[in-house]
Amino acid sequence: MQPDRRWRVVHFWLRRYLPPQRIEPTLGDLMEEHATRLDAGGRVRAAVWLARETLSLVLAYRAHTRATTGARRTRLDRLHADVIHAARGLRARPAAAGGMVGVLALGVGLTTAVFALADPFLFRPLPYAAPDRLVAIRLAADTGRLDAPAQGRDPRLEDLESRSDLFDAVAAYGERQDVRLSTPGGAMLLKTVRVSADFLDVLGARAHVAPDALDPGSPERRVIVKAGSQTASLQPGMLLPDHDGGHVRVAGMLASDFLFPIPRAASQPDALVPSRFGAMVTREPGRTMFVTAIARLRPEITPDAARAALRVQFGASAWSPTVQPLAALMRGTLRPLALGALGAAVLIMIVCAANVVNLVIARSAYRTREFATREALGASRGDLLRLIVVELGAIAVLGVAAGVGLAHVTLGVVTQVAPAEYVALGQPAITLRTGAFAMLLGIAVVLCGIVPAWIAWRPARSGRAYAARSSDARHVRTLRVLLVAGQSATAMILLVGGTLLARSHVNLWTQDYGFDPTVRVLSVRFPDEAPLMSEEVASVIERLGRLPGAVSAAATSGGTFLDDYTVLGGASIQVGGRHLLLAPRQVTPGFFTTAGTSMLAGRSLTPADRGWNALVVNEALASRLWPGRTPADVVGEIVAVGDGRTVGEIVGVVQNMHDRALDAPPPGVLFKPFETAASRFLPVHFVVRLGDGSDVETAARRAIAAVNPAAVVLSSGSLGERLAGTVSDRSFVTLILTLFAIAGVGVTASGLVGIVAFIGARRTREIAIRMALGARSRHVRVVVVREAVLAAAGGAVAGLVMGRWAGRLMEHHLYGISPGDIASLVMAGLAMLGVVGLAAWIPANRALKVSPADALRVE
Amino acid sequence: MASPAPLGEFELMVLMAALHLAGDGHGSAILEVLERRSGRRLSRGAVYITLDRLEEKGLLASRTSAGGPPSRGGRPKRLFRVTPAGTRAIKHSLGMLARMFRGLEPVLGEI
Repeated sequence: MQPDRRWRVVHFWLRRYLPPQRIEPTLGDLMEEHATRLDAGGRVRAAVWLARETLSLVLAYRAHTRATTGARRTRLDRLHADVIHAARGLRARPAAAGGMVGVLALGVGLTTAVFALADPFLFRPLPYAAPDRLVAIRLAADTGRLDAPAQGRDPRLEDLESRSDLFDAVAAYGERQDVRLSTPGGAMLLKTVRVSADFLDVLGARAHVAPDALDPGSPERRVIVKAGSQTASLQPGMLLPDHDGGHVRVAGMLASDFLFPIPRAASQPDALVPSRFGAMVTREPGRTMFVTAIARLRPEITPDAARAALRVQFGASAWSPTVQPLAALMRGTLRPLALGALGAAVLIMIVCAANVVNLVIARSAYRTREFATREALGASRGDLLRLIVVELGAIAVLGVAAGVGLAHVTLGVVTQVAPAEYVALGQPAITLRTGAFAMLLGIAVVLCGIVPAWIAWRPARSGRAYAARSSDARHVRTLRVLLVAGQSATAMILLVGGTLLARSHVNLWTQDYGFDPTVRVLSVRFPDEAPLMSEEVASVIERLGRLPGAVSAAATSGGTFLDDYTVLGGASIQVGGRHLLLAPRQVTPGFFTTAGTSMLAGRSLTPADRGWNALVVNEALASRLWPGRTPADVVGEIVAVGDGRTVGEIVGVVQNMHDRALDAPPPGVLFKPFETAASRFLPVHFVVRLGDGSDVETAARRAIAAVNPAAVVLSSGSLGERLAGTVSDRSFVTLILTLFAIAGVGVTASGLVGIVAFIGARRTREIAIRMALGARSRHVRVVVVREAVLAAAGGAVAGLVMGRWAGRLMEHHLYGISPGDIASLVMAGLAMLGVVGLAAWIPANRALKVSPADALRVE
Repeated sequence: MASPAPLGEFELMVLMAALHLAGDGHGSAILEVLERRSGRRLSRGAVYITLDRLEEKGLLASRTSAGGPPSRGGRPKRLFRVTPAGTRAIKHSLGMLARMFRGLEPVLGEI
């Protein structure tokens, strides 16, 4: 709150209740002490102190005025009395109050944290000006069609800009391009994207750039750099040498939270490079070409209308346009996932709310007498209803406050482990928006609780309070049973989902990867200008192999090994009259041993092997090319390469490697000796096997720099880490749903404990009489737990059936397991049974410890 | 002279706090002395109401200072002074307590 506004609020309240001559000195006292506390304890503490002191003054003077003038109690007075009464009630039963607040905090915390994560994908507008009017336009053409006569020219930006009937503005962007700079801190590789001059204007993005920074006509090369840790050493105006012998000017800085309008977080550029539209349309034989643009629609034009109009415009050419709202493109495939996660969180919230309501109803049984007395003393229905609302409100306020704190902590942890895609649209945090969402949840709980609580207290109103003391009214029992069954069913659905995902996760990580996950891998980009020679690679390998702690080192070409590059085209392989287009992977001698990949038959590649004379295939390719043959039979087979004049011999068969992604089927791979990199644009991956787990990171980087100072290490880590990155998406979903399942079951269990404890307390007299008459503990325990356990078991069975059905919705998240997997359902059912049994047994046991004499005397 | 009406425990504490400040105590200062010396957390509202009541009873007198420092937003202080009647009331209440205490030393010990 602004300082002036704060004191205006305080002044307002003092003026309302204090005598006029007291206002100014009292306000002065508060201001003086507030300033002291501000210096000593911080803003929040000082604000809390001020609120408390103001309230104390207002309440004291109000009570004083009322006592001296004999004024009637106002609504505010009654509300104040109810608040105090509710606070006392909660304080008098700290365990019950703590249970309710804790359960609510868990629900609010989890749901708010998920909302903060899901919000950018579901509700929050993109960080651009009027983002709902932005569309992504893509023009695609097959070069085969482009080469055909009479297909027209390549599109120009003017073709889109001229459509002022559709668009207010248009800008284009091109392919990713890496710019290598020499900075005072060493070589820096910037991932850049070519953009047209109006790009930032069309988006309406915040940036500190000169007006002509993106002018493609400028004689000097320019980059607009995104602020971040990697580019911290760059300043606007710097002129830096690049590795092409020229210079690049840093023409401006983008905000660190600038979001380039492409969906993949991994492809977010570090910088923008101004470019002419023509340079963004590249034509290479055999490729499908794309032109991508961002356009701001005229207010009255819809994306569908723009799409239809562009189809007509480009209908005669080889280019086919697609128009998609930018929000849909950016939110991409994560939108349904976000919706699912929020749905699961809301389920948890419902379970928590049901639990709180159930506990309120349970507490109400003790208070039917109090309500009857209040009614007899003249309390109206409105007074009783207000009391219910205030009590629920007090629980909700405390629950929401604790829940927001829990959400804050949860988000801190989740953002550390979440894949980049999940936080690409903005870092999730507790903001005014998420705080408002948490408050809405609290209000919803209060609203949901009013009706059941009112129904539960109804006996008091009908004058049957005393009769209601020893046994519940039927409607209260029905309500309680339904709530227990409902939350049990919801928890069961989550538990089934969590079990299926957890087992999928185990399947993923217990399979044979085809290599040793502890092996280190360094991905290196060598300079583009010269073809990479195998001697250079051999020199790096030799240095890496000599590092302290290294057992062996080897290398493989990029484009195929745990990177996001795709090799287009490849070599044509002929086997028995069949032609296959394969992108062979080049590996150095000793690669399989270093990576921990087993030879199934034959031998590995040796330094003597050259060109295509010796080849190794993996198991998947061997079974594809020679179905039904054993690996040993495949060794010695001859394949023809290209036009058939080159032949190669299969000298070995290796096991499959899950090197694309842990959850993707291993592709068929043909290995050939490393000679030159498959493409000068691709990285080379060096693998190092370490003997004692020692860290060779710094030494390895030095070894690479010693061979070629311009080489840039793109990434470094163990194969296991790289592999984990390929399933981080899946792991994250598993983690979230498992947390939900645990929370759901925990909340259900706590609810059951509360209900059984309540039933036990409610029937103390009955239990005492039964025991005094010689009933066995076993029988009495059944009396206490029967209702709750039957309700929970019924709900769990229903949840099991629904969980099996719900499992189909997440089929694509499962690995090596079907949605209806019986073992998972049984495991989930048994887990639920155990929790329900334990949750019922503990309080039931406590109820049996009652002394019959004491219980009867109290009654 | 008729003996003054007996003081409540809280009134006695407030009067004595004002006496400690020797006529230079405003609301916040009296509250601070009360909390420090009694070791209890007290409601500002209760203290301010009690000050008003004691002034109405003639046991305290107050005056408003001219202006105030910037830390108070220029607002004046309301300074309290214990009147002779207030001093008598304190003496009376303490005397009454002392008389009640007398003879209980073996039970309560030194206080």
